Amino acid sequence: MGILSILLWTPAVGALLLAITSGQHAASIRWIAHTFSLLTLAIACRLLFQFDANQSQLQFSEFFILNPDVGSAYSLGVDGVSMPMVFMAALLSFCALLISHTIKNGIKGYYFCLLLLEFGMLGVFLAQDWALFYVFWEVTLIPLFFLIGHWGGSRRHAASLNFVLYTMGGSIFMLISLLAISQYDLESGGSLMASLSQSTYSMSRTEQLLILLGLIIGFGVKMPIFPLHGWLPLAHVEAPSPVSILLSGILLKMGAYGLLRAIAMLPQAAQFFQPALVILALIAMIYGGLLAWRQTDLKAMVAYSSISHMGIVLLGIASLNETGMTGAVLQMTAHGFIAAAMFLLVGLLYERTHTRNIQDYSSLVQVTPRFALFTTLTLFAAMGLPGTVGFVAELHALAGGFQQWGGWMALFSLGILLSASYAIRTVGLLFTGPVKAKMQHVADLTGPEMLTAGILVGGIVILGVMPQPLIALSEATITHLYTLVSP
Amino acid sequence: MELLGWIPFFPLLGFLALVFFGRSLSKPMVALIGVGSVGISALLAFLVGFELLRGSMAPYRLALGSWITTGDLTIPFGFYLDSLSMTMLFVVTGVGLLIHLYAAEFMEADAGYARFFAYMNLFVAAMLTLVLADNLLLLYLGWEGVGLGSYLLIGFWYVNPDNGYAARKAFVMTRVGDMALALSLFLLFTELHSLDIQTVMERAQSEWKVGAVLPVTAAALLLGGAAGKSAQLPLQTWLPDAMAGPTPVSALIHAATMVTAGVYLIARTHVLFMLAPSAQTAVAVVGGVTLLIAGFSGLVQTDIKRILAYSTISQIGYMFLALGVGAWSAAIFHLLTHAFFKALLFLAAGAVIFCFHHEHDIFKMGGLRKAMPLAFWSFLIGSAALAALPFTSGYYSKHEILLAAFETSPILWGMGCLGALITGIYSFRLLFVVFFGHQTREVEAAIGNRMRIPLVLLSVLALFGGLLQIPLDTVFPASIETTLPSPSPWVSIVTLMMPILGLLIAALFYLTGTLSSTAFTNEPIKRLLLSGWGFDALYRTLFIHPFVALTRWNKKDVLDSPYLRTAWLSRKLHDLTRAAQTGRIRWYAASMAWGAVVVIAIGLLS
Repeated sequence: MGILSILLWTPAVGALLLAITSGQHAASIRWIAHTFSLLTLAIACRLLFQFDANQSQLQFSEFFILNPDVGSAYSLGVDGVSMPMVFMAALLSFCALLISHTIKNGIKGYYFCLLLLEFGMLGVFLAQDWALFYVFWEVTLIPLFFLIGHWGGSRRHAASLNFVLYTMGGSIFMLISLLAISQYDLESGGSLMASLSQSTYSMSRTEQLLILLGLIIGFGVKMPIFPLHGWLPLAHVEAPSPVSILLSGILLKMGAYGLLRAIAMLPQAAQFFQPALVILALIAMIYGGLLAWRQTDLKAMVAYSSISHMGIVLLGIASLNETGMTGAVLQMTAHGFIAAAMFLLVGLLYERTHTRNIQDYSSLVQVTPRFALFTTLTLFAAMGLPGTVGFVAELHALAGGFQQWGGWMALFSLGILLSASYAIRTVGLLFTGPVKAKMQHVADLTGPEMLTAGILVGGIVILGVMPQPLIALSEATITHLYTLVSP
Repeated sequence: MELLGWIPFFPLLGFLALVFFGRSLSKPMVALIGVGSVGISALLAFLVGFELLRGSMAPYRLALGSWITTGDLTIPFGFYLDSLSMTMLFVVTGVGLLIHLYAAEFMEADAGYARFFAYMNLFVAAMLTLVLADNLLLLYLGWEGVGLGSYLLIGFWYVNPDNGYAARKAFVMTRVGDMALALSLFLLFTELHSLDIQTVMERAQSEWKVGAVLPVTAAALLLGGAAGKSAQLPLQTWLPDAMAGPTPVSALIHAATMVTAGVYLIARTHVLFMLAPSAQTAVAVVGGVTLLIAGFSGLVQTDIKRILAYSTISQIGYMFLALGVGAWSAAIFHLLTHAFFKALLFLAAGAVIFCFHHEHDIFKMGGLRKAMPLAFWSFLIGSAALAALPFTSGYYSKHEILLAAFETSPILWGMGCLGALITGIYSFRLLFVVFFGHQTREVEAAIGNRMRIPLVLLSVLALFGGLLQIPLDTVFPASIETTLPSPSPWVSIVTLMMPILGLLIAALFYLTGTLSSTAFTNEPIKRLLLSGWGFDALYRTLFIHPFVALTRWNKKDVLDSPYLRTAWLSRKLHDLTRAAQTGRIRWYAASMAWGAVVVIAIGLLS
């Protein structure tokens, strides 16, 4: 068994162990969950160190045939695009578990679902076979349905149903597309991502277009691409904060990651959809920003800002050049940190004040200086202030877009301006203003909360000042991807 | 020379120390860290500066490490020192140190003492990064950093929502300019494949033709960025509101350093502007118009700090005018002298506010000459330099600008002269109203040495700073005032007489009372000027109201409705089909029979 299989199955083993533990032993349940997520993170760290960033090809590949008739295989591997995501999935799962101590009811099921979710997310990023990919893609749905529907807020049932229906609706298109390609490749053996890229050359143009369209819809729901974002605000608002962290930090990136793979597979079709994608990216940035500015619920604000930020990822992908794709991959990691930190901090604030209405807060900087520092730094990263990882990512995505479309990028700068306005509005309403008596007894961050927030915000700042390791991680693979998609 | 890298480091260190340990430190300790870190930077700056001056003035580069490297995008943390950045370095650390020292006393009673110095140090570190950066992206880092510092410090007294609003306004409005700057960075990088300032300038010179589209676009975008930061038309409206911050902040950020960053940016990229004559003309026009409209607004303000704010906008207008007519050295020279006298004026105004019941309205003051002699003399010197009375520092720099403007266009010169007249009027109006006449109330406090020393030193600089000789010729091409024959003597005489005329007018109105100001002012015009020409109202109707209306309308995301309709439709269909399931056997039997008939009929007929 290779390191990837060990990494992938560790959370699953943890989940199984939880399943046979009695639900009465809260302490041992938490202990098992934390241990296994820490173990997974440790393995991910080891993987990160062993990973050779200079190689563009898949590394640590594992392969054996599952079903010779269909040609599906258990095939794992990482390259420069999936490596950061694998690491982020392990890191954010660990962080999400760290702040899960506020969940009091049904903890056995909760931790079981969370570990299962981690298993599914890792699988999505590790799978190198479309059939396997699809399986993991759907595996993530089940635990999420329960996590939102059982441990969520007051509208949790609507939210979880909404989420599952939207995603399933998209997945159907994805499934049809995947089935359509796989029939071309039966003789060469299976639905491997690598071999499928070869087989697409024998397809007609129309077929390629239709297939990519299906994949765009499937991945677009998850990412989300405007106008398929309807599930996102509700799900993010209603989910418990640890789950919101994973939703925005990793789940959205699954869509972007899949899209990147799909585009590498169907470069000609990608050229065709390029203008449409960039327009959708522009709309997402501005539309998300406008909505974020107006929200009174803090979580809804962060949720809409996610739509805006994922627009930047889409812009980077749609630019189809090296700088832009680097920007997309960087933004996936950057937004992983930023959105996770935002949902973490907002969640912690909610636990203390039991309100998420932004108008209720005031002058929190007096009573919670540490919380204020972390939140402010995260919001500054959200608006792409230099010195944060958000800036490095946006810089690449926009520079890539500028190389492709030149002056049209002036429109995108509107999106950046909007992000500045909603971020600064949030900072202003949370931390300044007239002192309200109710907000004078909010406790500041302590213990594990400080640790979690410190990891995420530390990542934001350190990668903003020293982004080179992160950039180098994906550089070779992106160069390789670029040779695939360049006309 | 290697010490250059440490100059921004100490304020940054001070910032970190104060952020993490500020709450547990005593006030003298906070002051020691806050002022001391800038003090060390100033010391290092002077050491490095003298070394540069002693040598051949050859630019010095220092690479500290790499920041971002992807493909052909290589951004190091690198500093570049030539006489231009050295001048800025002296202003930021020198004037900055004096203001920090002053603030150590001015802010002493404030509960947020440590927070104040943390922000101030952050600002200084960012400003030093801005002026020393050898590439445009690092410059942009400093550029956004000073914007952040400005935001934090304008809203320093955060309990009052008005201050928060002013801070947000400043941040977002300058960010409009920043977007233009960012776009010009993208343009330069895409076309010239570098962001290193010197490389970009060399490549632009060799690859682009004078007046071509690309240099004009790039320069125009840079101008947009500069206009935002330097509060020039049409992005000037944030600066008067920025006076909500503590007075040392206004002196440091909104007079001496940050607001002149736009001037520095254009001077730094002057090669590009020389390739784009139309953009350069635009710089001159922006400067000329701004200096007039801000000057007129300054005439009617009653808040002591707002008068100075409008005056700052107006004086930066002069710098833009100078840049626009190619008098690069004159622009930087005026930046330098302006830093001296405007910092002096703000600090003196701060002293008045500090001692006089925190009053801002000049008409509630009066006769303070006797009670506050130091503030009076500082104000006198500062106003004289601001108005450019002969032999003060402001005289040398402004005179140079106006003569250069005359060579380019007599219209620009005329605007500048009119502006000089207005400057004379409003600066002496302020002086006469506050310090002459009779005193209404007693002064409640006295200022200590930490506030006195900066006032004295800045007074000396404001008086004699005009005699400083900065060898800017190594950076800029020979300025036109040296290459062209000097204009006819009457131009010099008119230029010289304008401020004096202004002084006399102000004296007639506000000192002797010979003329009454109420007879001359028309109420609507006065209100227009008071509001800064109604730009705020204009932007509110043009941008803010539509924006708010749009977001309010779409708060619930209209795009949900198609999906909700789908849900609604399936529910209706569900109801419809459910209606058939009545549970009555007769219905079922009847429908079965009818169904059989239909099926058979179809079978027979087809």
